[in-house]
Amino acid sequence: MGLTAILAVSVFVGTYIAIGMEKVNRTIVSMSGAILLLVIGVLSLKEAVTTYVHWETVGLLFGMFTIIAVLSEAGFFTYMALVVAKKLDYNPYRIFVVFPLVTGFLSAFMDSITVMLFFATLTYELSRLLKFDAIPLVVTEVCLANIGGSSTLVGDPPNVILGLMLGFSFNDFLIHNTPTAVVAALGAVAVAYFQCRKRLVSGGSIDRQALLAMDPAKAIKDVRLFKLGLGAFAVAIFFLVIHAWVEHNLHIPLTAPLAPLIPAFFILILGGHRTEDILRKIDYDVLLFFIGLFVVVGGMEKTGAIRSLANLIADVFRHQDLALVSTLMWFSAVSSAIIDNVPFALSMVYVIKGIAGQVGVPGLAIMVWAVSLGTDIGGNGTPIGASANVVAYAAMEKQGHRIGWPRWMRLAIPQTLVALVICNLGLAVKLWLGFY
Amino acid sequence: MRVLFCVDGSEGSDRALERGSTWLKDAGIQAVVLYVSPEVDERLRHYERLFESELREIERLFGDQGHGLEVAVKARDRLKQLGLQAERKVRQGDPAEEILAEIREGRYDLVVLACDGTGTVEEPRLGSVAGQIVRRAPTSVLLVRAGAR
Repeated sequence: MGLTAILAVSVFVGTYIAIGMEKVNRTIVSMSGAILLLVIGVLSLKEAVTTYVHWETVGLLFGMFTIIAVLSEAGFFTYMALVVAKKLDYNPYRIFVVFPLVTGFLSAFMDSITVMLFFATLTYELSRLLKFDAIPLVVTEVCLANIGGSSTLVGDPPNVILGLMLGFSFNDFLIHNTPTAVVAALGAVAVAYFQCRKRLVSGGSIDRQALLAMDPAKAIKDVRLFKLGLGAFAVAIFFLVIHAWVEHNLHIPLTAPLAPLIPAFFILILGGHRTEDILRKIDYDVLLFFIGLFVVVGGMEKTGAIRSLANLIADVFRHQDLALVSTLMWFSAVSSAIIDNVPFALSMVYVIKGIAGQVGVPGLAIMVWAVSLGTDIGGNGTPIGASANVVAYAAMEKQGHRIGWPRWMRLAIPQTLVALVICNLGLAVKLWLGFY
Repeated sequence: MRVLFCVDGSEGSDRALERGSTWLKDAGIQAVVLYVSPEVDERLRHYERLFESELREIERLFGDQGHGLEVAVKARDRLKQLGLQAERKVRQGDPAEEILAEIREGRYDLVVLACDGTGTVEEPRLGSVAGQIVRRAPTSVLLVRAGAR
Protein backbone atom coordinates (compact mmCIF):
# COMPACT_ATOMS: atom_id res chain seq x y z
CA MET A 1 0.00 0.00 0.00
CA GLY A 2 1.49 3.35 -1.03
CA LEU A 3 1.65 6.47 1.11
CA THR A 4 -1.39 8.01 -0.64
CA ALA A 5 -3.46 4.91 0.07
CA ILE A 6 -2.39 4.88 3.73
CA LEU A 7 -3.32 8.56 4.08
CA ALA A 8 -6.71 8.04 2.40
CA VAL A 9 -7.52 5.03 4.60
CA SER A 10 -6.41 6.96 7.73
CA VAL A 11 -8.63 9.94 6.87
CA PHE A 12 -11.54 7.59 6.12
CA VAL A 13 -11.17 5.66 9.41
CA GLY A 14 -10.59 8.86 11.41
CA THR A 15 -13.67 10.50 9.91
CA TYR A 16 -15.89 7.49 10.63
CA ILE A 17 -14.63 7.22 14.22
CA ALA A 18 -15.17 10.95 14.81
CA ILE A 19 -18.71 10.74 13.37
CA GLY A 20 -19.44 7.74 15.62
CA MET A 21 -18.11 9.50 18.75
CA GLU A 22 -20.43 12.49 18.16
CA LYS A 23 -18.14 14.86 20.06
CA VAL A 24 -17.94 17.23 17.10
CA ASN A 25 -20.75 18.11 14.69
CA ARG A 26 -20.79 15.43 11.96
CA THR A 27 -20.92 18.01 9.13
CA ILE A 28 -17.73 19.62 10.43
CA VAL A 29 -16.12 16.16 10.66
CA SER A 30 -17.00 15.09 7.13
CA MET A 31 -16.02 18.44 5.58
CA SER A 32 -12.72 18.42 7.53
CA GLY A 33 -11.99 14.91 6.23
CA ALA A 34 -12.73 16.03 2.67
CA ILE A 35 -10.55 19.14 2.93
CA LEU A 36 -7.73 17.09 4.44
CA LEU A 37 -7.81 14.72 1.46
CA LEU A 38 -7.58 17.69 -0.90
CA VAL A 39 -4.73 19.29 1.08
CA ILE A 40 -2.61 16.13 1.17
CA GLY A 41 -3.25 15.56 -2.52
CA VAL A 42 -5.15 12.27 -2.47
CA LEU A 43 -7.78 13.92 -4.64
CA SER A 44 -7.78 17.12 -6.66
CA LEU A 45 -10.64 19.60 -6.16
CA LYS A 46 -11.80 19.03 -9.73
CA GLU A 47 -11.77 15.26 -9.28
CA ALA A 48 -13.63 15.51 -5.95
CA VAL A 49 -16.32 17.82 -7.32
CA THR A 50 -16.82 16.21 -10.72
CA THR A 51 -16.17 12.52 -10.02
CA TYR A 52 -16.92 11.75 -6.41
CA VAL A 53 -19.55 14.19 -5.13
CA HIS A 54 -22.84 12.67 -6.29
CA TRP A 55 -24.79 15.79 -7.19
CA GLU A 56 -27.92 13.83 -8.13
CA THR A 57 -28.25 12.73 -4.48
CA VAL A 58 -27.66 16.27 -3.20
CA GLY A 59 -30.21 17.65 -5.71
CA LEU A 60 -32.89 15.12 -4.84
CA LEU A 61 -32.46 15.74 -1.11
CA PHE A 62 -32.57 19.52 -1.64
CA GLY A 63 -35.82 19.20 -3.61
CA MET A 64 -37.47 16.95 -1.01
CA PHE A 65 -36.26 19.15 1.89
CA THR A 66 -37.79 22.22 0.22
CA ILE A 67 -41.20 20.56 -0.19
CA ILE A 68 -41.12 19.28 3.42
CA ALA A 69 -40.14 22.76 4.64
CA VAL A 70 -43.23 24.18 2.89
CA LEU A 71 -45.49 21.51 4.38
CA SER A 72 -44.15 22.01 7.91
CA GLU A 73 -44.33 25.82 7.58
CA ALA A 74 -47.98 25.44 6.60
CA GLY A 75 -48.76 23.23 9.64
CA PHE A 76 -49.19 19.95 7.73
CA PHE A 77 -47.79 17.57 10.39
CA THR A 78 -49.88 18.95 13.25
CA TYR A 79 -52.98 18.95 11.06
CA MET A 80 -52.34 15.35 9.99
CA ALA A 81 -51.81 14.09 13.57
CA LEU A 82 -54.90 15.89 14.89
CA VAL A 83 -57.13 14.64 12.06
CA VAL A 84 -55.96 11.06 12.63
CA ALA A 85 -56.37 11.31 16.44
CA LYS A 86 -59.89 12.73 16.03
CA LYS A 87 -60.85 10.00 13.52
CA LEU A 88 -59.66 7.45 16.09
CA ASP A 89 -61.91 9.11 18.71
CA TYR A 90 -58.79 9.87 20.79
CA ASN A 91 -58.64 6.19 21.81
CA PRO A 92 -55.06 5.50 23.06
CA TYR A 93 -55.14 1.87 21.88
CA ARG A 94 -56.17 2.83 18.36
CA ILE A 95 -53.64 5.68 18.38
CA PHE A 96 -50.94 3.19 19.42
CA VAL A 97 -51.58 1.11 16.29
CA VAL A 98 -52.37 3.84 13.76
CA PHE A 99 -49.85 6.61 14.64
CA PRO A 100 -46.82 4.39 13.92
CA LEU A 101 -48.41 3.35 10.62
CA VAL A 102 -48.86 7.05 9.78
CA THR A 103 -45.22 7.85 10.60
CA GLY A 104 -44.20 4.83 8.51
CA PHE A 105 -46.30 6.02 5.57
CA LEU A 106 -45.08 9.63 5.79
CA SER A 107 -41.44 8.53 6.16
CA ALA A 108 -41.74 6.50 2.98
CA PHE A 109 -41.86 9.80 1.10
CA MET A 110 -40.44 12.39 3.50
CA ASP A 111 -37.41 12.89 5.65
CA SER A 112 -38.01 10.69 8.71
CA ILE A 113 -36.17 13.14 11.02
CA THR A 114 -38.70 15.90 10.34
CA VAL A 115 -41.59 13.43 10.60
CA MET A 116 -40.33 12.22 14.00
CA LEU A 117 -39.51 15.71 15.33
CA PHE A 118 -43.17 16.62 14.90
CA PHE A 119 -44.72 13.27 15.80
CA ALA A 120 -42.65 12.84 18.99
CA THR A 121 -43.78 16.32 20.12
CA LEU A 122 -47.40 15.73 19.11
CA THR A 123 -47.47 12.28 20.72
CA TYR A 124 -46.16 13.75 23.97
CA GLU A 125 -48.84 16.48 23.90
CA LEU A 126 -51.60 13.94 23.21
CA SER A 127 -50.29 11.66 25.96
CA ARG A 128 -50.61 14.54 28.47
CA LEU A 129 -54.27 14.97 27.58
CA LEU A 130 -55.16 11.29 27.14
CA LYS A 131 -53.06 10.06 30.10
CA PHE A 132 -51.11 7.35 28.33
CA ASP A 133 -47.44 6.45 28.40
CA ALA A 134 -45.87 8.24 25.43
CA ILE A 135 -42.57 6.34 25.45
CA PRO A 136 -43.65 2.98 23.92
CA LEU A 137 -45.62 4.82 21.26
CA VAL A 138 -42.75 7.16 20.33
CA VAL A 139 -40.29 4.24 20.11
CA THR A 140 -42.74 2.32 17.88
CA GLU A 141 -43.26 5.42 15.73
CA VAL A 142 -39.50 5.71 15.24
CA CYS A 143 -39.21 2.00 14.35
CA LEU A 144 -42.01 2.31 11.82
CA ALA A 145 -40.56 5.57 10.43
CA ASN A 146 -37.31 3.72 9.72
CA ILE A 147 -39.12 0.69 8.27
CA GLY A 148 -41.31 2.99 6.16
CA GLY A 149 -38.19 4.82 5.03
CA SER A 150 -36.78 1.58 3.65
CA SER A 151 -39.72 1.14 1.30
CA THR A 152 -38.97 3.79 -1.34
CA LEU A 153 -36.07 5.53 -3.07
CA VAL A 154 -36.76 8.81 -1.26
CA GLY A 155 -37.71 7.36 2.12
CA ASP A 156 -34.30 7.34 3.75
CA PRO A 157 -30.95 8.93 2.77
CA PRO A 158 -29.23 5.48 2.48
CA ASN A 159 -31.82 4.54 -0.16
CA VAL A 160 -31.21 7.76 -2.08
CA ILE A 161 -27.49 6.96 -2.06
CA LEU A 162 -27.89 3.28 -2.99
CA GLY A 163 -30.56 3.92 -5.60
CA LEU A 164 -29.09 6.89 -7.41
CA MET A 165 -25.44 5.82 -7.29
CA LEU A 166 -26.21 2.30 -8.47
CA GLY A 167 -28.93 3.23 -10.99
CA PHE A 168 -32.17 2.02 -9.38
CA SER A 169 -35.37 3.99 -9.88
CA PHE A 170 -38.24 4.94 -7.59
CA ASN A 171 -40.36 2.22 -9.21
CA ASP A 172 -37.64 -0.43 -8.65
CA PHE A 173 -37.84 0.31 -4.92
CA LEU A 174 -41.66 0.38 -5.12
CA ILE A 175 -41.77 -3.06 -6.74
CA HIS A 176 -39.04 -4.76 -4.72
CA ASN A 177 -38.70 -3.08 -1.31
CA THR A 178 -42.20 -1.73 -0.61
CA PRO A 179 -44.05 -5.09 -0.28
CA THR A 180 -41.36 -6.46 2.07
CA ALA A 181 -41.33 -3.24 4.11
CA VAL A 182 -45.13 -3.20 4.41
CA VAL A 183 -45.21 -6.76 5.82
CA ALA A 184 -42.27 -5.93 8.12
CA ALA A 185 -44.10 -2.80 9.35
CA LEU A 186 -47.27 -4.75 10.15
CA GLY A 187 -45.19 -7.38 11.97
CA ALA A 188 -43.40 -4.70 14.02
CA VAL A 189 -46.64 -2.95 15.03
CA ALA A 190 -48.20 -6.27 16.06
CA VAL A 191 -45.18 -7.08 18.26
CA ALA A 192 -45.23 -3.60 19.83
CA TYR A 193 -48.96 -3.76 20.51
CA PHE A 194 -48.81 -7.15 22.23
CA GLN A 195 -45.73 -6.08 24.18
CA CYS A 196 -47.18 -2.79 25.48
CA ARG A 197 -51.00 -3.05 25.46
CA LYS A 198 -51.34 -3.86 29.17
CA ARG A 199 -49.24 -0.94 30.41
CA LEU A 200 -50.27 1.67 27.88
CA VAL A 201 -52.88 3.72 29.75
CA SER A 202 -51.59 5.23 32.97
CA GLY A 203 -54.99 6.30 34.36
CA GLY A 204 -56.19 9.67 35.58
CA SER A 205 -58.99 11.91 34.40
CA ILE A 206 -58.98 12.87 30.74
CA ASP A 207 -59.60 16.49 29.84
CA ARG A 208 -62.41 15.90 27.32
CA GLN A 209 -63.13 19.62 27.03
CA ALA A 210 -59.62 20.35 25.86
CA LEU A 211 -59.92 17.54 23.32
CA LEU A 212 -63.25 18.78 21.98
CA ALA A 213 -61.85 22.29 21.67
CA MET A 214 -59.05 20.94 19.51
CA ASP A 215 -59.87 21.83 15.91
CA PRO A 216 -57.44 20.30 13.38
CA ALA A 217 -58.15 23.14 10.95
CA LYS A 218 -56.57 25.56 13.46
CA ALA A 219 -53.26 23.80 12.90
CA ILE A 220 -53.09 25.07 9.31
CA LYS A 221 -51.14 28.31 9.46
CA ASP A 222 -51.40 29.25 5.80
CA VAL A 223 -54.06 27.60 3.62
CA ARG A 224 -52.46 28.73 0.34
CA LEU A 225 -49.06 27.39 1.36
CA PHE A 226 -50.68 24.19 2.60
CA LYS A 227 -52.30 23.59 -0.81
CA LEU A 228 -49.11 24.55 -2.63
CA GLY A 229 -47.06 22.15 -0.50
CA LEU A 230 -49.44 19.24 -0.97
CA GLY A 231 -49.64 19.96 -4.71
CA ALA A 232 -45.85 20.06 -5.02
CA PHE A 233 -45.55 16.85 -3.02
CA ALA A 234 -48.08 15.06 -5.27
CA VAL A 235 -46.30 16.30 -8.41
CA ALA A 236 -42.90 15.18 -7.05
CA ILE A 237 -44.21 11.66 -6.36
CA PHE A 238 -45.93 11.55 -9.78
CA PHE A 239 -42.67 12.61 -11.50
CA LEU A 240 -40.72 10.03 -9.51
CA VAL A 241 -43.10 7.30 -10.68
CA ILE A 242 -43.03 8.29 -14.36
CA HIS A 243 -39.47 9.66 -14.70
CA ALA A 244 -37.84 6.42 -15.94
CA TRP A 245 -40.60 5.91 -18.52
CA VAL A 246 -40.38 9.55 -19.68
CA GLU A 247 -36.60 9.37 -20.01
CA HIS A 248 -36.71 6.07 -21.87
CA ASN A 249 -39.68 6.61 -24.16
CA LEU A 250 -39.92 10.35 -24.65
CA HIS A 251 -36.17 11.06 -24.31
CA ILE A 252 -36.90 13.97 -21.98
CA PRO A 253 -34.24 14.10 -19.22
CA LEU A 254 -36.69 14.03 -16.31
CA THR A 255 -34.19 12.47 -13.91
CA ALA A 256 -35.04 11.38 -10.34
CA PRO A 257 -33.47 14.52 -8.76
CA LEU A 258 -35.49 16.75 -11.10
CA ALA A 259 -38.73 15.10 -9.94
CA PRO A 260 -38.80 16.97 -6.60
CA LEU A 261 -36.60 19.89 -7.76
CA ILE A 262 -39.11 21.10 -10.41
CA PRO A 263 -42.11 21.40 -8.03
CA ALA A 264 -39.80 22.67 -5.26
CA PHE A 265 -38.59 25.62 -7.34
CA PHE A 266 -42.12 26.20 -8.56
CA ILE A 267 -43.34 26.74 -4.98
CA LEU A 268 -40.30 28.85 -4.13
CA ILE A 269 -41.27 31.16 -7.00
CA LEU A 270 -44.94 31.20 -5.90
CA GLY A 271 -44.09 31.39 -2.18
CA GLY A 272 -43.96 35.22 -2.19
CA HIS A 273 -42.86 36.68 1.12
CA ARG A 274 -42.73 33.17 2.69
CA THR A 275 -39.90 32.04 0.36
CA GLU A 276 -37.17 33.26 2.71
CA ASP A 277 -38.75 31.45 5.69
CA ILE A 278 -38.94 28.27 3.61
CA LEU A 279 -35.30 28.53 2.51
CA ARG A 280 -34.23 29.01 6.14
CA LYS A 281 -35.87 25.69 7.08
CA ILE A 282 -33.85 23.62 4.60
CA ASP A 283 -31.30 21.40 6.32
CA TYR A 284 -28.12 22.61 4.59
CA ASP A 285 -26.01 20.89 7.28
CA VAL A 286 -27.10 17.49 6.01
CA LEU A 287 -26.33 18.45 2.41
CA LEU A 288 -22.80 19.57 3.39
CA PHE A 289 -22.39 16.39 5.46
CA PHE A 290 -23.18 14.34 2.34
CA ILE A 291 -20.81 16.36 0.15
CA GLY A 292 -17.93 15.87 2.61
CA LEU A 293 -18.65 12.16 2.92
CA PHE A 294 -18.74 11.65 -0.84
CA VAL A 295 -15.19 13.04 -1.01
CA VAL A 296 -13.91 11.01 1.99
CA VAL A 297 -15.32 7.74 0.62
CA GLY A 298 -14.17 8.74 -2.88
CA GLY A 299 -10.59 9.01 -1.61
CA MET A 300 -10.87 5.52 -0.16
CA GLU A 301 -12.35 4.16 -3.41
CA LYS A 302 -9.50 5.68 -5.43
CA THR A 303 -6.92 3.74 -3.41
CA GLY A 304 -8.54 0.39 -4.29
CA ALA A 305 -8.98 -0.60 -0.62
CA ILE A 306 -12.75 -1.05 -1.00
CA ARG A 307 -12.23 -3.24 -4.10
CA SER A 308 -9.95 -5.55 -2.10
CA LEU A 309 -12.66 -5.91 0.56
CA ALA A 310 -15.27 -6.65 -2.13
CA ASN A 311 -13.02 -9.33 -3.69
CA LEU A 312 -12.55 -10.94 -0.29
CA ILE A 313 -16.32 -11.06 0.39
CA ALA A 314 -16.98 -12.48 -3.09
CA ASP A 315 -14.36 -15.21 -2.53
CA VAL A 316 -15.90 -16.26 0.80
CA PHE A 317 -19.50 -16.36 -0.47
CA ARG A 318 -19.01 -17.58 -4.06
CA HIS A 319 -22.02 -19.70 -5.17
CA GLN A 320 -23.75 -19.15 -1.81
CA ASP A 321 -26.27 -16.52 -2.83
CA LEU A 322 -28.64 -16.75 0.14
CA ALA A 323 -25.77 -16.72 2.64
CA LEU A 324 -24.26 -13.66 0.97
CA VAL A 325 -27.55 -11.74 0.78
CA SER A 326 -28.52 -12.64 4.37
CA THR A 327 -25.05 -11.72 5.67
CA LEU A 328 -25.19 -8.38 3.85
CA MET A 329 -28.59 -7.61 5.36
CA TRP A 330 -27.73 -8.60 8.96
CA PHE A 331 -24.27 -7.01 8.79
CA SER A 332 -25.86 -3.77 7.55
CA ALA A 333 -28.48 -3.98 10.31
CA VAL A 334 -25.98 -4.47 13.15
CA SER A 335 -23.57 -1.86 11.77
CA SER A 336 -26.37 0.72 11.38
CA ALA A 337 -27.43 0.24 14.99
CA ILE A 338 -23.92 1.28 16.05
CA ILE A 339 -22.73 3.79 13.44
CA ASP A 340 -24.43 6.48 11.35
CA ASN A 341 -26.23 4.76 8.50
CA VAL A 342 -25.39 7.39 5.85
CA PRO A 343 -21.59 6.86 5.78
CA PHE A 344 -22.20 3.12 6.12
CA ALA A 345 -24.51 3.02 3.08
CA LEU A 346 -22.09 5.12 1.08
CA SER A 347 -19.23 2.67 1.72
CA MET A 348 -21.50 -0.27 0.94
CA VAL A 349 -22.29 1.22 -2.49
CA TYR A 350 -18.67 0.62 -3.52
CA VAL A 351 -18.47 -2.74 -1.72
CA ILE A 352 -21.54 -4.30 -3.39
CA LYS A 353 -20.62 -2.76 -6.74
CA GLY A 354 -17.26 -4.53 -6.40
CA ILE A 355 -18.89 -7.82 -5.41
CA ALA A 356 -21.39 -7.66 -8.28
CA GLY A 357 -18.57 -7.59 -10.82
CA GLN A 358 -17.39 -11.07 -9.75
CA VAL A 359 -18.31 -14.52 -11.03
CA GLY A 360 -20.58 -16.76 -8.91
CA VAL A 361 -22.38 -14.03 -6.97
CA PRO A 362 -26.03 -12.88 -7.27
CA GLY A 363 -27.02 -9.77 -9.23
CA LEU A 364 -26.42 -6.27 -7.89
CA ALA A 365 -30.16 -5.62 -7.36
CA ILE A 366 -30.76 -8.22 -4.63
CA MET A 367 -27.69 -6.93 -2.77
CA VAL A 368 -29.08 -3.38 -2.97
CA TRP A 369 -32.40 -4.53 -1.44
CA ALA A 370 -30.53 -6.44 1.30
CA VAL A 371 -28.28 -3.52 2.24
CA SER A 372 -31.14 -1.02 2.03
CA LEU A 373 -33.49 -3.03 4.28
CA GLY A 374 -30.71 -3.89 6.75
CA THR A 375 -29.32 -0.35 6.93
CA ASP A 376 -32.67 1.41 7.30
CA ILE A 377 -34.29 -1.03 9.73
CA GLY A 378 -31.23 -2.06 11.78
CA GLY A 379 -30.88 1.52 12.97
CA ASN A 380 -33.98 0.99 15.15
CA GLY A 381 -32.05 -1.06 17.70
CA THR A 382 -30.45 1.78 19.68
CA PRO A 383 -31.31 5.43 20.40
CA ILE A 384 -28.39 6.52 18.17
CA GLY A 385 -28.98 4.09 15.29
CA ALA A 386 -30.54 6.75 13.05
CA SER A 387 -30.96 10.52 13.21
CA ALA A 388 -34.73 10.10 13.65
CA ASN A 389 -34.05 8.02 16.79
CA VAL A 390 -31.68 10.65 18.21
CA VAL A 391 -34.19 13.46 17.64
CA ALA A 392 -37.19 11.55 19.08
CA TYR A 393 -35.17 10.31 22.08
CA ALA A 394 -33.89 13.80 22.87
CA ALA A 395 -37.32 15.37 22.33
CA MET A 396 -38.84 12.99 24.90
CA GLU A 397 -35.97 13.61 27.31
CA LYS A 398 -36.55 17.33 27.01
CA GLN A 399 -40.17 16.80 28.04
CA GLY A 400 -39.03 14.99 31.18
CA HIS A 401 -39.58 11.45 29.79
CA ARG A 402 -36.16 9.86 30.24
CA ILE A 403 -36.26 6.70 28.12
CA GLY A 404 -32.73 5.37 28.71
CA TRP A 405 -30.90 2.86 26.51
CA PRO A 406 -32.19 -0.28 28.30
CA ARG A 407 -35.87 0.68 27.90
CA TRP A 408 -35.36 1.79 24.29
CA MET A 409 -33.70 -1.53 23.46
CA ARG A 410 -36.35 -3.59 25.31
CA LEU A 411 -39.03 -1.88 23.23
CA ALA A 412 -37.26 -1.58 19.88
CA ILE A 413 -35.26 -4.78 19.53
CA PRO A 414 -38.22 -7.24 19.42
CA GLN A 415 -39.90 -5.13 16.71
CA THR A 416 -36.64 -4.77 14.82
CA LEU A 417 -35.85 -8.49 14.96
CA VAL A 418 -39.31 -9.44 13.69
CA ALA A 419 -39.05 -6.87 10.90
CA LEU A 420 -35.58 -8.10 9.91
CA VAL A 421 -36.61 -11.77 9.94
CA ILE A 422 -39.54 -10.87 7.65
CA CYS A 423 -37.16 -8.97 5.36
CA ASN A 424 -34.73 -11.89 5.29
CA LEU A 425 -37.58 -14.26 4.34
CA GLY A 426 -38.69 -11.79 1.66
CA LEU A 427 -35.16 -11.69 0.22
CA ALA A 428 -34.96 -15.51 0.28
CA VAL A 429 -38.25 -15.75 -1.64
CA LYS A 430 -36.98 -13.20 -4.17
CA LEU A 431 -33.80 -15.20 -4.68
CA TRP A 432 -35.77 -18.42 -5.03
CA LEU A 433 -38.10 -16.85 -7.61
CA GLY A 434 -35.24 -15.03 -9.32
CA PHE A 435 -37.36 -11.86 -9.01
CA TYR A 436 -35.08 -8.98 -8.12
CA MET B 1 -33.60 29.80 56.80
CA ARG B 2 -33.48 29.49 52.99
CA VAL B 3 -34.32 25.98 51.70
CA LEU B 4 -33.93 24.72 48.15
CA PHE B 5 -36.25 21.87 47.07
CA CYS B 6 -34.91 20.14 43.93
CA VAL B 7 -37.65 18.57 41.80
CA ASP B 8 -37.65 16.61 38.55
CA GLY B 9 -41.25 15.38 38.31
CA SER B 10 -40.36 11.85 39.44
CA GLU B 11 -42.05 9.92 42.26
CA GLY B 12 -38.87 10.23 44.29
CA SER B 13 -38.76 14.01 44.02
CA ASP B 14 -42.48 14.26 44.93
CA ARG B 15 -41.73 12.21 48.04
CA ALA B 16 -38.75 14.41 48.94
CA LEU B 17 -40.93 17.51 48.56
CA GLU B 18 -43.65 16.12 50.83
CA ARG B 19 -41.34 14.69 53.52
CA GLY B 20 -39.13 17.78 53.55
CA SER B 21 -42.04 20.22 53.81
CA THR B 22 -43.69 18.15 56.58
CA TRP B 23 -40.49 18.24 58.61
CA LEU B 24 -39.71 21.90 57.94
CA LYS B 25 -43.08 23.66 57.80
CA ASP B 26 -42.90 25.01 61.35
CA ALA B 27 -39.31 26.22 60.98
CA GLY B 28 -40.29 29.50 59.30
CA ILE B 29 -38.37 28.77 56.11
CA GLN B 30 -38.09 30.64 52.82
CA ALA B 31 -38.59 27.90 50.21
CA VAL B 32 -37.54 27.78 46.56
CA VAL B 33 -38.36 24.91 44.17
CA LEU B 34 -35.86 24.28 41.40
CA TYR B 35 -36.25 22.23 38.22
CA VAL B 36 -33.20 21.68 36.02
CA SER B 37 -34.08 21.00 32.44
CA PRO B 38 -31.47 18.66 30.90
CA GLU B 39 -29.23 19.93 28.12
CA VAL B 40 -30.80 19.35 24.75
CA ASP B 41 -28.97 17.08 22.30
CA GLU B 42 -27.11 19.08 19.65
CA ARG B 43 -28.97 17.42 16.76
CA LEU B 44 -32.38 18.11 18.35
CA ARG B 45 -31.35 21.72 18.97
CA HIS B 46 -30.46 22.03 15.28
CA TYR B 47 -33.89 20.78 14.15
CA GLU B 48 -35.67 22.82 16.82
CA ARG B 49 -34.00 25.91 15.42
CA LEU B 50 -35.15 25.00 11.89
CA PHE B 51 -38.77 24.41 12.94
CA GLU B 52 -38.93 26.68 15.99
CA SER B 53 -42.17 28.50 15.14
CA GLU B 54 -44.04 25.29 14.24
CA LEU B 55 -43.02 23.56 17.48
CA ARG B 56 -44.03 26.61 19.51
CA GLU B 57 -47.35 26.58 17.66
CA ILE B 58 -47.94 22.96 18.76
CA GLU B 59 -47.24 23.91 22.40
CA ARG B 60 -49.63 26.84 22.10
CA LEU B 61 -52.33 24.66 20.52
CA PHE B 62 -52.07 22.13 23.35
CA GLY B 63 -51.74 24.78 26.09
CA ASP B 64 -48.33 23.44 27.08
CA GLN B 65 -46.18 25.76 29.20
CA GLY B 66 -43.12 23.59 28.77
CA HIS B 67 -42.25 20.60 30.92
CA GLY B 68 -39.81 22.36 33.29
CA LEU B 69 -42.16 25.16 34.16
CA GLU B 70 -45.02 22.69 34.57
CA VAL B 71 -43.06 20.56 37.07
CA ALA B 72 -41.88 23.63 38.99
CA VAL B 73 -45.37 25.16 39.15
CA LYS B 74 -46.86 21.83 40.28
CA ALA B 75 -44.23 21.54 43.02
CA ARG B 76 -44.80 25.12 44.18
CA ASP B 77 -48.59 24.52 44.32
CA ARG B 78 -48.05 21.30 46.29
CA LEU B 79 -45.90 23.17 48.81
CA LYS B 80 -48.66 25.77 49.16
CA GLN B 81 -51.16 22.98 49.93
CA LEU B 82 -48.74 21.70 52.55
CA GLY B 83 -48.58 25.14 54.15
CA LEU B 84 -45.41 26.64 52.65
CA GLN B 85 -45.07 29.64 50.38
CA ALA B 86 -42.40 29.07 47.73
CA GLU B 87 -40.77 30.68 44.75
CA ARG B 88 -40.14 28.57 41.59
CA LYS B 89 -37.04 28.50 39.41
CA VAL B 90 -36.09 26.68 36.20
CA ARG B 91 -32.51 26.33 34.99
CA GLN B 92 -31.07 24.47 32.00
CA GLY B 93 -27.91 22.38 31.86
CA ASP B 94 -26.21 19.57 33.76
CA PRO B 95 -28.50 18.89 36.78
CA ALA B 96 -25.73 18.58 39.42
CA GLU B 97 -23.80 21.62 38.15
CA GLU B 98 -26.92 23.77 37.95
CA ILE B 99 -28.10 22.80 41.44
CA LEU B 100 -24.64 23.61 42.82
CA ALA B 101 -24.65 26.95 40.98
CA GLU B 102 -28.10 27.77 42.40
CA ILE B 103 -26.92 26.87 45.93
CA ARG B 104 -23.95 29.22 45.58
CA GLU B 105 -25.96 32.07 44.04
CA GLY B 106 -28.98 31.77 46.36
CA ARG B 107 -27.05 31.32 49.64
CA TYR B 108 -29.24 28.47 50.85
CA ASP B 109 -28.99 26.93 54.31
CA LEU B 110 -30.42 23.56 53.31
CA VAL B 111 -31.02 21.56 50.13
CA VAL B 112 -33.75 18.90 49.96
CA LEU B 113 -33.59 16.28 47.25
CA ALA B 114 -34.45 12.69 46.49
CA CYS B 115 -31.91 9.92 46.65
CA ASP B 116 -32.65 6.94 44.41
CA GLY B 117 -30.04 4.60 45.90
CA THR B 118 -30.83 1.53 48.03
CA GLY B 119 -27.56 1.05 49.92
CA THR B 120 -26.85 1.02 53.66
CA VAL B 121 -26.43 4.10 55.87
CA GLU B 122 -22.67 3.54 56.00
CA GLU B 123 -22.38 3.11 52.27
CA PRO B 124 -25.24 5.00 50.71
CA ARG B 125 -25.67 4.17 47.03
CA LEU B 126 -26.68 7.57 45.81
CA GLY B 127 -27.98 8.61 42.46
CA SER B 128 -25.30 10.41 40.47
CA VAL B 129 -26.85 13.86 41.03
CA ALA B 130 -27.47 13.31 44.76
CA GLY B 131 -23.94 11.93 45.14
CA GLN B 132 -22.37 15.01 43.60
CA ILE B 133 -24.49 17.40 45.67
CA VAL B 134 -23.59 15.60 48.92
CA ARG B 135 -19.89 15.71 48.04
CA ARG B 136 -19.69 19.24 46.68
CA ALA B 137 -22.46 21.40 48.18
CA PRO B 138 -21.23 24.14 50.55
CA THR B 139 -24.34 23.66 52.67
CA SER B 140 -26.34 20.98 54.51
CA VAL B 141 -28.20 18.44 52.38
CA LEU B 142 -31.35 16.53 53.33
CA LEU B 143 -31.70 13.33 51.30
CA VAL B 144 -35.07 11.57 51.18
CA ARG B 145 -34.69 7.95 50.23
CA ALA B 146 -37.04 5.76 48.20
CA GLY B 147 -39.40 3.90 50.52
CA ALA B 148 -38.67 6.28 53.42
CA ARG B 149 -41.44 6.45 56.03
